[in-house]
Amino acid sequence: MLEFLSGSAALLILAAVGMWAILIAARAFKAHSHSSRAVSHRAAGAALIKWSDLDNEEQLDAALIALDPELIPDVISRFFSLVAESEKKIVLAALERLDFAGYLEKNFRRTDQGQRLLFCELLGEIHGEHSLDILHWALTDAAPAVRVGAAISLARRGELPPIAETLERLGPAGRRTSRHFYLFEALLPDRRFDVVAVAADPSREPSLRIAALQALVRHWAAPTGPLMRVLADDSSTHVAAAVARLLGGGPHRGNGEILTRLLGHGSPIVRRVAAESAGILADPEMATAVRSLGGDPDPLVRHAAALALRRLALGGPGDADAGDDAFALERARRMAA
Amino acid sequence: MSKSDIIYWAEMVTWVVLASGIIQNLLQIAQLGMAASTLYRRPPVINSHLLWQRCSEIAPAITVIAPAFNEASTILGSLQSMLALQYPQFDIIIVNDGSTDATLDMLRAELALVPVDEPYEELLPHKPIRQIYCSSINPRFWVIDKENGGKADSQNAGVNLARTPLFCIVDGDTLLEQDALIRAVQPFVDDPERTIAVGGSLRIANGSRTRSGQVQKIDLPEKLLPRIQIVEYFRSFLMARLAWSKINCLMIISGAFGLFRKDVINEIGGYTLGSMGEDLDIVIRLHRHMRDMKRAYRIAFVPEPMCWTEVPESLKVLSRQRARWQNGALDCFFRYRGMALNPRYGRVGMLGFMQMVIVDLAGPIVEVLGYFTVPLFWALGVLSYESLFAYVAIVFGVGVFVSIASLILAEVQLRPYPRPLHLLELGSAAILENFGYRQLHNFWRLRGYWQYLRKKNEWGEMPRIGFGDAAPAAR
Repeated sequence: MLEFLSGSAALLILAAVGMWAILIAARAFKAHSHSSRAVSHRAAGAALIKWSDLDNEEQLDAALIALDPELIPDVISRFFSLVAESEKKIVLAALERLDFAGYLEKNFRRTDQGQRLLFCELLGEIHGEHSLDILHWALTDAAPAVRVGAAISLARRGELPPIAETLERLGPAGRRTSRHFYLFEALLPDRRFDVVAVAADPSREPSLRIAALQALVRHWAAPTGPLMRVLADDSSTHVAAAVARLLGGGPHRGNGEILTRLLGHGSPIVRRVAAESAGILADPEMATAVRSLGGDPDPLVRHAAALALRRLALGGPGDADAGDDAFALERARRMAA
Repeated sequence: MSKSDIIYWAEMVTWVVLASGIIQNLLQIAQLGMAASTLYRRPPVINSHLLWQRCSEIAPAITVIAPAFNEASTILGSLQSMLALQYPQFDIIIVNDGSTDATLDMLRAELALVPVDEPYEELLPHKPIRQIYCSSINPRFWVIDKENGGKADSQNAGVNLARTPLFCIVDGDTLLEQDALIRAVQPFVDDPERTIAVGGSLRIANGSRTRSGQVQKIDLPEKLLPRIQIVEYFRSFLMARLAWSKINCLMIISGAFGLFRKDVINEIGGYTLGSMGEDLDIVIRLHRHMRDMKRAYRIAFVPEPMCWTEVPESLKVLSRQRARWQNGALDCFFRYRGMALNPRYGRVGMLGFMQMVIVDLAGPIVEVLGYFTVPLFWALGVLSYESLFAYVAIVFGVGVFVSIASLILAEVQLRPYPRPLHLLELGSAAILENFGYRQLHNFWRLRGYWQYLRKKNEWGEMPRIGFGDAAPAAR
């Protein structure tokens, strides 16, 4: 037994030290290639910025051809974050001319999760012969992030399968992310009924429904009244709280009535968010409802209400005093406790 | 007592020491495997532009809260790193915890602070606030000047003033990476309903060149002590925490960088005042609360480096820090002992607390016992040479393996140091750590035990060298 333990420990040390030595040797051997990659990375970025700005197709193609294809996805993703939409289009056109989509398609299955997600994002913008097939295939990828990335790219290209089928393919982990905001945003306005259906479907994950709701609100730059009215009574606390939060985004017709209703919601989380939104909206019609939360059993709600009254100073000094009183009352309660 | 009795007891003690070592090693090897599998499946995203493109529009607003007590030597560097943060919506609250040095004056000068009468929720308890200031040149910056009450007290004050759904706790002496927030928020974007807290990796700034609050040139420190701490940090962050987060059993989020959901922290009553291990305490309470409420939740860990910190370069300061950490761990363990091995708390109670028992509770005592008894028994002829060799191989040999394996993980996935020589030097530190430092460390931890038993809750002074230049920050 003792010999076995000692032998195992010695073997482990030898294995670790051996591997470490190999890594050091590999690093020393590759030091040059790493630095040259870094240099070509920077040079490629500079070339893309220069030639796309000048709209010089010939030089742009030459710069892309000279670049190691392995580096292109990373260079492109950095470049896209730096330039205007018009320059981005010029580079996308160059990549299509050079059949970069073919490279992505060929290498998609050989890469790790991070690269596959990046490839999905690029295939959403660079059109190739089989890029749609690859994206459809990626909807069943093992990694949830890749599945979501593929769905967003397909939606941007207007090729997303029916929403129910897509969401089924994404699986529970893939349906939880708030990145679905981009998916729903890409579906608007053409497939708005799909988006509304997801937002209103109580059997769906709350985060998914909230993302759909946010996309709808963002697209129309205002909360969508009838839907908000329905969702304010939703069985999910998260969804009702999201409605309360979104209603605080700006004063729109009918908001006050829904928000007042939410101030009396059964969940303290919703009441608290509603009180915060009421404070932001500064609608005097809600003052009575907000003031009534001063006697709320939940301390977080009482605080939110007090803060709303104080910060907004609704209707003059009387209400500001009411806010101060609520604060003082709260402090006294806490001290007594 | 006959000779056979002595031999029997010597063998028993040796087996207890060996068994404790084997269990600790098995635990670490399991963590190593889990961390490797996690990193293999989800490699770190090196390009932060990508993260920005993917979630800048949906990333929730964050308030960065930095408690500072007598941080005059490092506060400007930290301030500059906060100014350079790249994130769609964020506020920064620096809490001056009754500093007796020039911390507040420096903040006043750099940020052109003006006193404001800002209402805030007094939900979490803390010492009285003297004044709240806002920067007149950068409205994102707020400073709370309050009476001294300790780190947890300052954190509570910061949370009370925070207006965003998430807040990020950082130390007043850390340098944040520009993309720290956008990286840390990823788990909240991936799973917004269940994620309640996220921890991030820390890196050691000693030896590296910093400028304007950013690490410009990464290098190793010259002294062996901080180098050994680099190996320790890789082992702790890249191996142990990543592994535990995979099974939602992460027990600690470093006080130097942690992102939390404000509503949940309010629900649990904020940070425990007077706790010596407030970072461990808050995570254990989050687990307890969520499990008591039977709510699905996730406490995640992001392996990419979030911030840089300065570690002690002298044995005296390091010993104080480690004794305090041990004191904090014991304090938390006994405070929440009801969770230990309690099936109601699932993996946290069974695995997380079991690890605390093995590593924090029994670990230093049994290991120090072994340092004395095993060689003594061997010298007296009571133990065989094989037993002695097995002890050395298990206690030290596997220690070397685990340290080097965590360095390999870091090198393969993150390539944290640029030169091959750095790897060689870190490898040497990983081996040397086991001969001298490890033993000292265990003695420091015993001192932590003693402090805990004597209820001695002192943070002690932590002298700082400061980060590189300290040029004017806010303009």
